[in-house]
Amino acid sequence: MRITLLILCALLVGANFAAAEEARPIGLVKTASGEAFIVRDGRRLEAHPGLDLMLGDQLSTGKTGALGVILRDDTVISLGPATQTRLEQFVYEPAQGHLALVLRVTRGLIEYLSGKISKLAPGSVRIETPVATLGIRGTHLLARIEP
Amino acid sequence: MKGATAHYLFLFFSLLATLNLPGCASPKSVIVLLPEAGKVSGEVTVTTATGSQLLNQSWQSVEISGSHGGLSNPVVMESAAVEGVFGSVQAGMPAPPVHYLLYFKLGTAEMLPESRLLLPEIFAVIKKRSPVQLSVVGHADTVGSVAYNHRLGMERAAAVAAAIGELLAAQQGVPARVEISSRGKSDLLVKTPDLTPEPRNRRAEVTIR
Repeated sequence: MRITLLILCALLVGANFAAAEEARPIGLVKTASGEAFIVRDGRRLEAHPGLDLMLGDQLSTGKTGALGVILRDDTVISLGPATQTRLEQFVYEPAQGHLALVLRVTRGLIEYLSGKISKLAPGSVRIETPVATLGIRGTHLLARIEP
Repeated sequence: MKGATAHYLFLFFSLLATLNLPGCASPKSVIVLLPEAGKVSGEVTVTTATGSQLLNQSWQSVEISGSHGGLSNPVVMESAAVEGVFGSVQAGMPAPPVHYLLYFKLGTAEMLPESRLLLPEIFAVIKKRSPVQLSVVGHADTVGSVAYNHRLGMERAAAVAAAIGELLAAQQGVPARVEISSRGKSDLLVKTPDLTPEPRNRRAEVTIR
């Protein structure tokens, strides 16, 4: 666990890139404190720095929790306390021009700093909430969502 | 005794009430556009059931009230108010990823000496940010075919990953995953015609997340 030197030799890439893309991590947890969880396939994992994020993961914090993540396109997201989000859509294949990011924020506080998807394809990033949809070009923002 | 407790509770709640700003009794949803490196970072279109607002200036904000999705006009939010609402989330924001560009000799996966000198610094950043996700994307100039340059880009990325891997292996306990890929001659840093030698395009980009 402590010594995980994993060099993914992408010499295999030619073989079946699309299939590999499905199960590939889309980011990682950088910071976690208090009650901070990832819910994946109905299972609740305690968030810790280094934990891989997968498409469809729900990121959530309790009243004293905080959680910071970085996605594979360099998007940075921070969750404050009592926050619920889900990584709904993440497509980052710049060589093919396939780019999309949809983050769902059900409630709570977030900070969002855009990565390459937003820079390469402005208009392909959305934050969806129960009260509003945010169309993103750029950008760096804060949101408090009270449904 | 019970009366005293009730009295204290009453005092406590009165205190809370005085701390609350007018209109904040039931917190509203708020969106704030932040600057990036001192400049406007882009724009956000906020769309609700009742309408839409554009934020395109730093510190501009809109409020969305409750169930009917009423939108305020954009107003600049004072930094103290931003800190009050968002202090906790801003404190937990991870440092953004760090990027390095390394350059290569023409037609080879051999790093230029000055790029090689950056490796210890890259390693130090990895160590400091650990645990990290690393990616290395290899690029080429436009000399040669698409297939040749794709392969060359991959060889460059692999060479960088191997060099970083050696440094990591020498120090156990710094876990890192290195993902390599190639863009060949399809993503030029300096636009050139085809079949043009350009040192600045013979590069690998290292991203430390």
